[in-house]
Amino acid sequence: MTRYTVTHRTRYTYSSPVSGSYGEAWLLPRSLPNQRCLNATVTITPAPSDQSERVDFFGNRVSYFHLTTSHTELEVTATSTVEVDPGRGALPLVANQPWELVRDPCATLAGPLGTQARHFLLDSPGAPAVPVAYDYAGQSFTPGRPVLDAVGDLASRINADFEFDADATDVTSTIEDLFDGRAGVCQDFAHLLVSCLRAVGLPGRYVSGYLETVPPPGQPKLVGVDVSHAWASVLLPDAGWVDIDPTNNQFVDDRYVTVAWGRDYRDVTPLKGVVYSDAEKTTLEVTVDVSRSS
Amino acid sequence: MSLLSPSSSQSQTQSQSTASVAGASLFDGYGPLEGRDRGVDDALLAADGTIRNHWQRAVRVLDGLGLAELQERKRVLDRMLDDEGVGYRLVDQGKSTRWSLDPVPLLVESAEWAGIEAAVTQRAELLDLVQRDLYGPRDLIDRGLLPAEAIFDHPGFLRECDRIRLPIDQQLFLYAADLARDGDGRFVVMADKTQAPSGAGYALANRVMVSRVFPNLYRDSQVQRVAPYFRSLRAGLERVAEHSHSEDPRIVVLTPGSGSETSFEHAYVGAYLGYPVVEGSDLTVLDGRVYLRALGRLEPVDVILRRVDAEWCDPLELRPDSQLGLPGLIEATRRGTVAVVNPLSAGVLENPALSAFLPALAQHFLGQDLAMASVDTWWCGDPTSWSHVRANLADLVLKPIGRTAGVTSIVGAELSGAELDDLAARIATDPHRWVGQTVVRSATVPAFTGTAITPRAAILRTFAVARGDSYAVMSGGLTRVAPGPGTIRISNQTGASSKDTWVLASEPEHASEFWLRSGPATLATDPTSLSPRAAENLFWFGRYAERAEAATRLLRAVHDRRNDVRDGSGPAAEASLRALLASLTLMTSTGPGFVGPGADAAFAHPDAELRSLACDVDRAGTLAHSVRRMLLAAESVRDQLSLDTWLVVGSMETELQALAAGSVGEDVIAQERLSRVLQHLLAMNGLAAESMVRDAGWHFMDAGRRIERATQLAALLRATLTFARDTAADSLLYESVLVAGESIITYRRRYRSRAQAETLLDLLVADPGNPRSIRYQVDRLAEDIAALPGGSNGGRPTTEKRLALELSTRLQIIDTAQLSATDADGRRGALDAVLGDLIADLWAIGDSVRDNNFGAMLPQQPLTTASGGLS
Repeated sequence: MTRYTVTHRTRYTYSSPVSGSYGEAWLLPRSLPNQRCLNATVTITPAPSDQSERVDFFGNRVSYFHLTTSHTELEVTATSTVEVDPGRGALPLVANQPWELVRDPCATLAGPLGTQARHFLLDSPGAPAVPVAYDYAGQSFTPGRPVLDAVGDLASRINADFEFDADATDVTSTIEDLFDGRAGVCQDFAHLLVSCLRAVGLPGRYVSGYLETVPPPGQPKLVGVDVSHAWASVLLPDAGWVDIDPTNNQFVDDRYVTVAWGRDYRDVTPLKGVVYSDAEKTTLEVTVDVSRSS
Repeated sequence: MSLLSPSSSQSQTQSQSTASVAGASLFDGYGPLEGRDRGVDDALLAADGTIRNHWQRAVRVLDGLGLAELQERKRVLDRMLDDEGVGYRLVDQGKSTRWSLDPVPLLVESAEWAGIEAAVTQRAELLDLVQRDLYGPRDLIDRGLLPAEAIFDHPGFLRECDRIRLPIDQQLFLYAADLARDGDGRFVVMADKTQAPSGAGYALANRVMVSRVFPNLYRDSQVQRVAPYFRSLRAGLERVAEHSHSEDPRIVVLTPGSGSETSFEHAYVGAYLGYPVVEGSDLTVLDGRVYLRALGRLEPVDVILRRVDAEWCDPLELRPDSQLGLPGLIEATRRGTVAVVNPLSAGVLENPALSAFLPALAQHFLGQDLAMASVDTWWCGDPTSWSHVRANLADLVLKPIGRTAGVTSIVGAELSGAELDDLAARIATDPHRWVGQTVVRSATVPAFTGTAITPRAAILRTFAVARGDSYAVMSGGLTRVAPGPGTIRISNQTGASSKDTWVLASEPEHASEFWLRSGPATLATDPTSLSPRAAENLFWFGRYAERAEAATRLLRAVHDRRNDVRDGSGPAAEASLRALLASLTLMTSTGPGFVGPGADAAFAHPDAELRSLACDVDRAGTLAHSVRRMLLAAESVRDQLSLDTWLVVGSMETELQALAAGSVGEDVIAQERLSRVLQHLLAMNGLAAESMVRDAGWHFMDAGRRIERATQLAALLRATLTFARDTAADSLLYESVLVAGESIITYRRRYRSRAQAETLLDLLVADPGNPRSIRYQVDRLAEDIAALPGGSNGGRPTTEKRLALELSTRLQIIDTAQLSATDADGRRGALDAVLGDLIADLWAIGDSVRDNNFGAMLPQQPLTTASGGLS
C-alpha cells in the first residue's frame, strides 16, 4: 500500500479586474476498490462567497464555487491524501480472451453493466470514433488477438507514433488535429486511445489523475515538477475496467492516483468557469506535487 | 355546383349578403384535391361530399358574408395583428413579420375533441414517467425498453441535470403535441414538444383576434374557451412556487430576448399571466439562489418559466459561449432554491425515436394501448428497422433524433437517386441518430387564400400543463396550414399560415372561473422592480425617439429652404441653405457630409446625402437608424409599454420600411413622408405623457428624451449661431433654426421682428417656460434624475444629480447678450464654448445615469482552461 499526498495548485492572473467568477473543479480524488481518498480539500483565494461539493453523473466529486469579490488573481489549491493498493496493476484473467469475444456482448448486454457499456461505446465530442481512429486501431486489433494484448499494442503505437509536445495542441484540438500534427499531450493520447476503442466496438473512457514521477537515479525529487495526468480505460464486461496509459506506454499500477472519469476531457475538466471581466489577457500557472508519505 | 347541403337555409343569410343571392357561394369549387392528395379526408366535407353537421353554421355565415366582406374582415384582422404587434421573427431574414392568421377557424366537434384530449393527456403522463426514469433509476434502459443509444446520444439528455427534481410529482410540466389528421381522418401524433414548447400564446392571440372579427359566429357557435388553459398554467406555476421558501414567491418568464423567433409570445404570455419577462442578464445566482436584478437591489426568484433552450441556460455547466443564460442556474436547481419549467432536462423527450417505443412503454407503465398512434416511426439504431428504412428511403421522411444545427427533416421523395445514396451513407455512419417516418397523407381543412376557400393540409399543435396528478389540455390549439397544395412540411419558418381552433361545446359553456380571484389580495409587484436592462432600454427608447424627431424636423427645414432656393430667392437663401446642410451633418454626427473639404461637392449635389440621412438604416445618426434603434429598444421592453404604444410602433415600422426601401424621391413625397414620421413620433410623445405611469421606467425614458433634445438643440445652435453671416442670410438661417426648434410661432408673436441671435438664444436656450428650450429640458432632466432610484453613493448626491443641478443653475444666469456678441471675425467664441460645455455635460450625465443604474456588467467570458495534463 502506498500513501500519496497530492497538491495541485492553479493560479490565474488577469490583466484587469474580475468582478465575479463562477467555477467548477474536478480535483477531489474518488475512492475506489483499490484506492482510498483519506482526505481532500479545495481551497480558493480570494475566499469564495459560496462553495459546495456534489457527485456528478459518473460518480466523480465536483467542487462548485462563486467569488463575488473583485480580484486580479485567483488561486485554486487541491490537496489530498490517497492510499493506493499494490494489487492495482494486476491484469485480469480474461486479458487473454480474443478481443472479438469481449466486443460482441457489449452492444447487447442487458442490465446496468450493459447500460454502462453502451454509454461508453458512444461517441463523445472529445473522443468520437472517427474513421481515422478506426483505421489506426485496425493494425492492433487483428483477428483473434487477446484483448489486452491488442490494447497494449495500441498504447505503444500511440507512444511511438506521436511526439510529446505541449504546444502542438490545446483543449479544443480534435482527433484529426492530432493526426495532422502527430504531436500532443497526455490528454490527446488518452482521447485517441478512447476513440480507437470505441471505433472497434469496445467501451472506453477517459480518466484524469496523477502519476508519481521518479527522479533520475542519484538526484533528489524536486517539489512541483509533477503534472496532472490523463489516460484511458477499457471495459471488459467480465472483469471490469482496465486502465492504460498511452503517454507512458504502460498499464496503470499503484504509481497512479485516479481523480475522475468520464466520456472525455470535457466531462472531467480539472477547472472550468465563467468570469466577468474586461481582461484581454489571462495567464495560467499550474503546479502539481505528488509525494509519498507514510 | 353548390356544396351547401339542403338543411342550410338561404333565407337566413339573404338579408346580409348579395353574394349568396347571386348564387356565387364562397364554397363553390371547394372540393377534393387532385393528384397526390386525391381522396383524403377533409374537415369540412364528409366522404359523400356533403357538409359535415358541425360546419353548417359557419358555412352559412361565411357564405352570407360573401367574398368581398370576408376580404374586408381579413384586412381588419391584419390591422389588429399589426396594432397589437403580433409578430413572428423569420430566422433567416432576422426580421419580424406579421403573424399570418387565416380568419376562418378550424372547427372540431366536442366528441372528437374529447378523444384528442384523452390521448394528449395519456401521452403527457407517459412521457412524464419516461422523464422521471431517465433522470432517476434509468430502469427503462437497463431493461431494454429504451435503447441506450437513443437517449445517451441525444443532445437533450443533460447529465448535469441527473437526479434534479421539480418539487411536484410531475417532472414534465409543459407538453405540446403536433397532431395531423391522416388521409383516413384519424389523428396521429407527428411530434412531441418538451424543450420549451411554443405556440400557446399565439393560440391565445388568434382566439382574441378571430373572435373579434366574427363576434356573432363565435358567440353562436358555443366555442370552448382557451383561457382555462392559461389559468391552469398559472395555477401550476403557483403550485410549484408553493414549495419555495419565499412568503411571496416570484415567478418570471425567461426569454432569449427580442431576437427570438417567438419573442412576441414570450412578452404576450408574460403580460397575460402578470409575470415579469426577463433575460438571462437580468438574473444572477448568488449563494446558490437566483435573483432578479432590480434597480439597486436583488429580489429572489422562485420559479422560472423557461423559453430559452436548455443548452443556452447556464454557461458554467452547458454551452460556455452562451450569453442568454446565467452561470450557476443548474446549481441553484440542484439545491432546489429555484424551479425551472420545463425542467432543463426535458429536451430529451423531444426525440422522434421515442415514438417507436411508446406503445411498449404504454403497456409497461399503464397497461394500456396508446390512445393515439404516433406517425409510423422506425428507429435506425435497430438493424431490422434500419434495413426497412434503407429500402424505403425515397418514401419516408428522415429525421435526426435530436435537433442539431441545420438539420430538421429530410423528405426522401424530394431527393435525387444520388442524394438518396449520400443520405443513406450519412445515416449508416450513425444509424442510431436517425429515424424514418412515413409521409402522412394529411387530411385537409378549409383555408382562406385571399380569393377563395380551398382545402389545404394542416397540423394542429395541442398544449398540456401539469395539473393535480395529471394534465390539463387547452380546448383548442394552434392550427397551421400548408402554404400550398402538396406541401409536406408545415412550419411558420416555411410560410405556413395559422388558424384559430374552435372546439364546439356540446352544450353552452358557463364561464366558471374569472380573472379576478377571490381570496386574500396578492401584493402588487413593487413598481420599482425594474430590471437594469429594461431601464436601459427605456432610456435609449427616449433618446432615439428624440434623435429621430430632431433629425426629422431639421430635414424638413432643409427641404423648405431648398424649395426657396429653387424658386430663385438669391444668394442669401443659398448661404443659409448651405449653413443649414452643414448643421444637419454636425447635429446628426454623420460627417464629413456637408462639412469639410468635400462640402462643396456635397452642396452642389445634395440629393444622395440627404436621401442617405433620411433612409440609410445602417448608418448611425440617420433618421432611419434612430427609428430602427428606437423600435428595437421598444421591442425589448414590450411588457413596460402601454398597449396603445403598439398602434404607433406598428405604423412606425411601416414608415421605416418605406424609408429603408429608399422610396424617398421627390421633395414633395419626402416632405409628406417626413411629416408622417413626425406625426408618429408626436403620437409616441403623447402616449408617454398621457398613458404611462410616472414610475422609475418613465423617468428613465423622459431623462433620455431630455438629454437628447437639449443635446440636439445645442448642436444645432452651435453649428448655426457661432458664426455671423450677412444679415439676410442669417435671418433666413435663424428662421429655419426656429422652425427646426419648433419655436417659430412663439418667436414671431413675441418679438415681431427679424430673427436676431440674442432673442433667439433667449427663446431657445434660456427661456424656462418654452418646452423646446434647453433650459426647460435641463430642468425636467433634473426632476427625472431626482426621481430615479439611483445607485447608492454613500448618501452623497450622484454625479448625474450634481451635474444636472449645476447645469440648471448655469442656465438660470446665462447672459444671452454677452453670448450673442461677435468678435471682429464675426465669431461668437463665448457661445461656442458654452454650448460645447453644455453638450459635454449632457453626455457626462448620460454616462453617469448608465454607470449608476444599468449595472454595466463586465463582459462574461469563459475561464481559460488548462490542458488535462502535460505529462
